Amino acid sequence: MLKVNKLEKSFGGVRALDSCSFEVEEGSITGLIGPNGSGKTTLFNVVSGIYDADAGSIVYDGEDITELEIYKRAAIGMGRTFQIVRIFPKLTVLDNVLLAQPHIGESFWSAFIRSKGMRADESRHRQRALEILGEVGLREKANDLAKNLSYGQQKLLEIARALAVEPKLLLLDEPLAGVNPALAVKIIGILRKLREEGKTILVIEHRMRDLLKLADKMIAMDNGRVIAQGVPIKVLRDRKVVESYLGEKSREKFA
Amino acid sequence: MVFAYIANLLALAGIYGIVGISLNVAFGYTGLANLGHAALFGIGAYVSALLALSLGLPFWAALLVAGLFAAFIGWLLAWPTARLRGDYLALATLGFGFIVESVFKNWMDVTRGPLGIPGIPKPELFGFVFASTESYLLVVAFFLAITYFVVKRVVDSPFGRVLKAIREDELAAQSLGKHTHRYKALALALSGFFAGIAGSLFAHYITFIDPSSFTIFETILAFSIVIIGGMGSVEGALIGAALLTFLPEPLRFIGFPSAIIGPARQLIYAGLLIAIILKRPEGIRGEYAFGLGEKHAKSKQA
Repeated sequence: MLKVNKLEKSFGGVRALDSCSFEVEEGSITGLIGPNGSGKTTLFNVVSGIYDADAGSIVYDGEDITELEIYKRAAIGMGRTFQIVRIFPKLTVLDNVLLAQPHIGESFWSAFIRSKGMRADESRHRQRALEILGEVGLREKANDLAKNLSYGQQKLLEIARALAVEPKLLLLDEPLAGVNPALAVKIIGILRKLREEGKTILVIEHRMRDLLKLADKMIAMDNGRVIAQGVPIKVLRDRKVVESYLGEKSREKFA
Repeated sequence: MVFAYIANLLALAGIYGIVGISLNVAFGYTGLANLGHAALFGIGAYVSALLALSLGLPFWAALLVAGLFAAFIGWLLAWPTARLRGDYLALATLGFGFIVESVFKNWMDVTRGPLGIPGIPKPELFGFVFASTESYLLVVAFFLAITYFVVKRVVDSPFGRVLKAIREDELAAQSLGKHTHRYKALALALSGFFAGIAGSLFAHYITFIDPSSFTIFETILAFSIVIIGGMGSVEGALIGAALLTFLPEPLRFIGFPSAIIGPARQLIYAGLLIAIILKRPEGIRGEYAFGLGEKHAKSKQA
């Protein structure tokens, strides 16, 4: 589904990604872990096209997308959320979701002409957007401004928005960070359901206990490299992974 | 006499209303702080005046071409500045404004430089000349109505929704599959189109233009209109334009010498602007508060 091959990205002298390679299988949930500064979000930003890679390649669905423009990656089925929520605060919750759906009505001229087809298309999208909001439990909030949602609800909205892209691959950057336990359970439920629907999910998360419940596979990064991957519990107990989080001396204690 | 005086103010308020609405398309809705907006206004004025005088084009055709030409320049302006936002975009467009102003001043063969262009004809329709202030007010009202309805229709559409999304968070809009550079170019083109039309209306109203009417001060006036009236509100731009046109007028009747009226007008604008930003940053009818920079922290590298 997604194959990252020897990806390189530097910021000045900092090698954020250093020959980073791994594969994500279709229909799986893959957890991406690593200490702060290990390159996880940079990796997301390169895969979703926000940064250009310095070297290496990204193959998605058998197609090399390394050079593909950022705005074309949604159309091939890639949806993402951000570590710090990036909703559109002064638009309504519904508009936030509608923006994620590819629209014929979004062209300049159709704003004037407003053909029957365009209006039908818009109301179809509206229907679908409300459905998606129903799935994440935000339907009653559809006409509120997004900035008036609680933090947890904003996270849900971001997931709803990523879903509205109708993605095959979802990149989720810390969907559980800062949300209360009840909401975390809900988000985990949503992610499981998405996997059942055949979506592929790559998720960055620091809440290991939750991630263990969720992930089919885990990838650990440190200093821009993949240092371990495979069965989640094994990756968590991997010597190098423990060292990367806690330093070398802690080895005997935890490993 | 009194009526002509008020009609004159209304005509000016109408023209500046179009300027305000057109700036709102770029700034209020799309978040593009175009500090070269007066240049687009000026391009419209010069193109229209020159077409009417040298080619003898009727006003209506000259106005349309002026609008289209200013739209084209706005569209062109979008591409080199596509990756800039906030303060950086403001600085780049400020430079654009100065370049256009110096073209007006120095391209003597075409614009006659600081001498200006006199004798711009008044509009004519089926033999009727809109020479009086009152009749010209009708022309302004006609184009103001067109501007109002077209811009309303555009911003209340899925297209307008994308513009607002770009204002809120361009990167997020891109990651949702929007070709934001294209949208920004279209927004600046639409903004330029109506700025150009306003410029044409201005030129054929005053019948004389020179570079001093299209400087950074006119841009500041346009921004004041939008900020006071309310960003992202078409009605707000109209209210702002009317306020800024009418509010300084009582000065004339107090009997101040005209040397003081000019600076006093600036003082009133400044005072009003400061009061609005302090007490009601979203403006009289606006959706959201004034601000140039991006409100979101850049996503950290983790």
